[in-house]
Order: sequence, then C-alpha cells, then structure tokens
Amino acid sequence: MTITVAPREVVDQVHRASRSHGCDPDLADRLATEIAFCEIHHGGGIAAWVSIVDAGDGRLAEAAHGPFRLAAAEVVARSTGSAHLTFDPPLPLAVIARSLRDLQRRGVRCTPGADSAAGLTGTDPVPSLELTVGEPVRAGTSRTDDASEAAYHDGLPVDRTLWQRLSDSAADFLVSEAALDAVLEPTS
Amino acid sequence: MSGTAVRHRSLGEALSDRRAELRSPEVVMAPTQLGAARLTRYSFTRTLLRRAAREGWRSRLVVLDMDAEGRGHAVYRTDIDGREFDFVAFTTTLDESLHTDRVVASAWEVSGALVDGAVDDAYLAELRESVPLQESARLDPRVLVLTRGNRSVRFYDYLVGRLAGGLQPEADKVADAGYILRSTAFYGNGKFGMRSYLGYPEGHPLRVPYRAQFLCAWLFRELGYDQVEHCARARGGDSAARFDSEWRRYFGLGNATGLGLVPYAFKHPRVLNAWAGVRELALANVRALPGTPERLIDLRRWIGRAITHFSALGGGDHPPWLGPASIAARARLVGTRLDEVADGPAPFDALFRWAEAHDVETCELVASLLIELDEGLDDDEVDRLLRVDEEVEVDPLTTVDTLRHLLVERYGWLDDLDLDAPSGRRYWWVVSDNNDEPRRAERTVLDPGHHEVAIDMAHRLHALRRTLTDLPGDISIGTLLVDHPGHGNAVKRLVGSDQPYGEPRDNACASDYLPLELQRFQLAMYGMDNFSPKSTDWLRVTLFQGAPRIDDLGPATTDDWVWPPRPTEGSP
Repeated sequence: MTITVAPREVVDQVHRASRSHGCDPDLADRLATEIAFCEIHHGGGIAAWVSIVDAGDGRLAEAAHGPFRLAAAEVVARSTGSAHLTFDPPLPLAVIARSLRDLQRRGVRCTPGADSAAGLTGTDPVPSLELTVGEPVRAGTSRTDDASEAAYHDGLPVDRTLWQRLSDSAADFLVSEAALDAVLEPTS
Repeated sequence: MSGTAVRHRSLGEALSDRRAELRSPEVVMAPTQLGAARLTRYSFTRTLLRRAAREGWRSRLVVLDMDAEGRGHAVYRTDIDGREFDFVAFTTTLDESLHTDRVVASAWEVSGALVDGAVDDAYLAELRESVPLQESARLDPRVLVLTRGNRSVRFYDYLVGRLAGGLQPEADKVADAGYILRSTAFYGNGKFGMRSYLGYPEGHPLRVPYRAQFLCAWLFRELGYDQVEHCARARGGDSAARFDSEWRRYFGLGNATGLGLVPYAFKHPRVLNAWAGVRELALANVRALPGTPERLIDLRRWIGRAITHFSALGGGDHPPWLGPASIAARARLVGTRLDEVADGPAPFDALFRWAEAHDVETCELVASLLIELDEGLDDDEVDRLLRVDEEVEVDPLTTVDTLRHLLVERYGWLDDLDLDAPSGRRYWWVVSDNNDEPRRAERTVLDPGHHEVAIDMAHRLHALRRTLTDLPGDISIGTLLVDHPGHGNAVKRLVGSDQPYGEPRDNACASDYLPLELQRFQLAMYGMDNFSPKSTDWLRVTLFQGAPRIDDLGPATTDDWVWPPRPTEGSP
C-alpha cells in the first residue's frame, strides 16, 4: 500500500522526526535533504530512515554526520587527487545520496558513486567510498531532472506504513496546544 | 534611467548594477521600515489582475447550490488560454461562538480549493469530504491551493437584510469593514499532498510565486458577494436588490494573519530579496524620472485617492502603526510637498528624500505612491525576477578566511542586536500540534527541549563567527563542519547571502522582537492593506478591496482600483 506525498512533505517530516530522535537542526536539515533526494531518485529513502532509527538510540545522529564526513573527504581528494572513506557501520545510501550527486557535479568521482547508485536503493549499505578527482558532470540541479519534475508535479508514492512511522515520529516534534495555551497568549 | 524598460538577466545582476541608485539594505531591511511597508503596483494582487485582464482570462460562476442560509457549495471556473481552473467552495454556518481567526479553529463557514482542471461530480464528492478537513485533509496534486474562512459576524446578516429589503447598505454602517468574508490561510506548494510549486510545468499560467493563491483569494472574495445576494434573494424574493455599482466592488476579502509568516521569512532569504528587490528597483526608476505634467497629474491623482480612501475609513491609530486618519493626514502633507518640489529637475527624488526624513510610515507611503508611476519594469520581467532558485551549493573547499570576510562584509549588523544579553534569547519558536500553528514561548516558562524551530539565524551566524575567531584562515568548510556540524545552516546561509535584501535585521528570539513588522512587510508585498493589529503577534487586513469583479475583467480593465472611495449613502 502506498500513499502519494509531495517532496516537501518528505523533507518536513524527516526533519521533524529526526529532531525527535536527537538530531540538532543542522543535522536534521541535512538528513531531510538527503532522504528526500533518495526517495525521489532511488526509492527507499524513508525505509532507510526507519531502519537507522530501529538500529538504536544515537544511530540517527551518527548517520547524519555521513554527509559532513564525505565533504571532508572531498577536501582531501581535491587537494591530493584521491581519498578513501570508511563507514563503520556501513551507511545506508539514502544518507549520502544527494551528496554523491553533488560530488559528481564538482568533478569528484566516487566508487560507488552517483552512476553506480542508479541501480541501488536507499537502504543499500555503503561500507566505504573511493574518491578521485575527474571532470565535473553537469547534472541538473536536484529540482530540474526528470525524476524530480515528476515528483513535484504528480507527487511521490511511498510506503504507507513507513510514512505513518515517520509521521508518528515527526508528531513528537510538535508541542501540544493545551500545553502552549496554558503558558502562552493565544495568537492567530 | 529614461523610464523605458531595461531587461536584466537576473535580479542579482539588476541589484548589483544599480546598487548606487537603490536604498541600502540597512534601511530597507530595518524592522521598523519593514513594518511600515505598503502595497505597490507590483504586489501580487495587482500583477495577477493586470495579467488576467491583459491575457483575457475568463472567470464565471458555474454552480451555486445553496440553501436560503447560504449553506451548500459553489464552483467558479477560470479559463486561461484554454486551461480550466476550478475554485470549489463548500459553505456552512457556524454558531457565532465558534467564529475565530485562529489557525487552530476546527470549523469554518467556508472551505475551498483551487483545482487545476474542471471538477466533475465524482471529484467534487471527494473534495466535499476532504476540503472541509483543512490541515487534516489528504489532497492530491490536482489541488493547487487550500483555503478557508468565515463570514463577517458584524456585517454578513446586515448586508443580506438590506439587499433582501431592496436596499443598499448604509455607508456609515459598513464602509469601515471592507470585506464580507474573512480568510485565514492559503496553503499551497505541496502541503497536504497538493501540487508542489516546482511541479507547475513551463508555460503553466500560474507558474509565478503566489499567483495560484491570489487567484484563489480573488475568487473567494467573489463568493462573498454571490453568497450575500443569494441569501438576500432567498429572503426577499423578487424585490431583493443586488449590490449597486458603488458597492459591487467596494468589499474586498478579509484576512487574519498570525505567526506563520515569521518562520517563512527567516527561512527564505532569496524570496525576501526578490520581493524587496523588485520594489526597490521600481522606486529607483521613478526617483530618476523628470516631472512631466502627465506624471505629476498621475501622482496627484494617486495622492488624492489615498486621502479620500483613508479619510473615509477614519479611526485612530493602530499602535505600533498609524491608523487611517493619520495616514490621510500624511497623504495631505505629501501632496503639499509635491506642490513645493514639482518644478524642480527631479521632483520625485526630492519628494522621496523629504519623506525619508519625515518618518517611516510617510516614507513607505510615498514609496508606494511613486511606484505607481514606474515605467521601467514590465510585468513579464517582474514575474521572472520573482522566480528565485533557493538552492545554495556550498563548496567544501571554501576557507575560514572567506567566511570571515563574508561575515564582516554582510553581517556587521549582528553587533547591533545585543545577542549575548539574556534579553536576546528570551523567546524560542515552536510549532503547535494543532494545525501546525507556529508560536513563540519564553524559555523561562517552557523548556524548548528538541522542539525549537531554528529560525534564530542571527544567533546562528553569531555563534559561527565566534567559532571562526580562533581557527586558522586556510581551514576549509569541509574540514570545519566535520567537527562543527551544528554550524551547517549558518555556513549555508552565509555562502548564499549574495543578495542585499535577504535578511531582516532582527533577532526573532529577542524580548523586544515585534512579529508584526515582518508580517506587515509580507502582507504588503501580497497586496494587502488596512493593517489592523490585534496583538504583537497577529493582525487583520483586507485585500482586493475595490478590485474588478469576475464580470468586469477584460482588456479595458484598469489597474487603478486600490484604495476605493467610500460609497455614498445607501438607497432610502
């Protein structure tokens, strides 16, 4: 069973749900961007988010550091010509899917990279990455490729059960109206 | 500037090329200046109706199926170059005690949706189930906008009664109201499963920011007229009157606006920059114009409209803002000053310089009036300049030195905010579980925990600046953020801050922060007026007051409908 959602709903819900699971706003924003990109281009983004949460406390914030570690490895690769990055435990592709695409656009080749990831889904584990400097690939922005345009126009079908899991976690980010009304002035 | 249109490749290029002619960001983005903004000819209500008239959009009421009390549904169909858009509204009545402007209300007298395409009976039945649920609804990408509102408690029944008796309204009873129905939200862009804005394909007639929302709002306003006249006919039969020529355009749509606009503004600097940037370009165009007799006549006509409209509304000030009577008085002063400078070589610039030295309300009133004369921006260009790409790509090789330079160059104003004082962190922002309503809470009263909405950009940039102080200048962002991922958003904001009008020079967490100021700026850019604050956090406004009705729209429709004169006394 699927439910059709808008890409911005994936971003919003992953951000909120990640906050509820201990990520600060910056980590949650980055995760939300990566997961939504993955859901659009590879599928399995939300499934990957749920699997990380199910792996235990603190695992989500740890996984959210993945894109930042990848950026640091890119600095090394662009300075020295190559870099090696290990994720232990392996990261689901969903956590770095967007970053891999961005690397390619800046001329850094990855193995596995944006090309080979085409056959992968968001839950596939990435234990390590090899980075080498090459030619920039002028892929579209995340908003102008065919998959994105279709998702923005028609919505994105996602697994209904997983969406509910995500939404339940996202709801924990909110504060109850009763609690707010008890201490705040009402507003519009 | 000669006054002829000059097309720019991008807004950034335009603002950069003409920086010396434009007001500085320190002035434009100062909170009190933002809080004095007024609608202009480039506000969204205006650009919508100009385009609709120019391109021959046709709107008509195709269904009005309501009982005598106005409960039922209506469908308005708009034909735009062969494409159909339906505004579907479901109406009911509520006990007066259930009327509220708050977003968290659970029931509304009107709930509506703008749909891309003609709605058939089967889809209408689906919408009848979902649209009244509002934030609890699951919609689909055929829906572009979701909205709701209530009847004016004071005036709806009065208007029905007058028309049912064959009479027109009495001006002194209703003319200060300005609306029949009052809306509270126009959701779009992917909320609740609706079509994402980025999913409007190339060539789509509503592929301009907020165009769908304001088409929806214009039709919502139309519904108010049709509902009142329907109820009047049901009550008064053949002797019932319709609104006469003086009244049939006078009412706009009311709107109540709360804190939701504030997080949006702090999160979308490039959008803010586009809104303010277009206005500032237009203002610079006009200030450079010579004062031909035609232009001076035109400006005097606009000043006269303002005096007439605000004088008739009357009423005292609405702290922190001027009320209609004071605005009318300011407009008279503007007229007097124009007479004094009219013969000079650059009268519009002289008038504006005088207004700048006067007070912010006068200054922004004059900006609004002057922009009516702009000949330098055409609507196609404005639409294009308003479409901004909000993606910011951060190159991990960017160095700490570069960030420090950007902070000095663009964020020196942080020093004026007293961010380290306890008063600088008094509030935090939170989202309620009831309809996602944003609120702000005092830290000492409610612990944020993990619930804080991160719109504290001033604090985040300030914290980044502190961290950078002790780091070697050649360290790259990529290396920095591995150890400090909590600066990720601040770094992105800084790297993407290549536009002058993106940052409100304010701290949303400060004890003296006034949400009304940023709210008013946004509402003015939308084309709303008659700002009536109800607290520090929310206000009421009107839009489309005086605007053409759907039957009026055509090539001959003029753009001078704002600030309508008050109708004369009603029929005996």
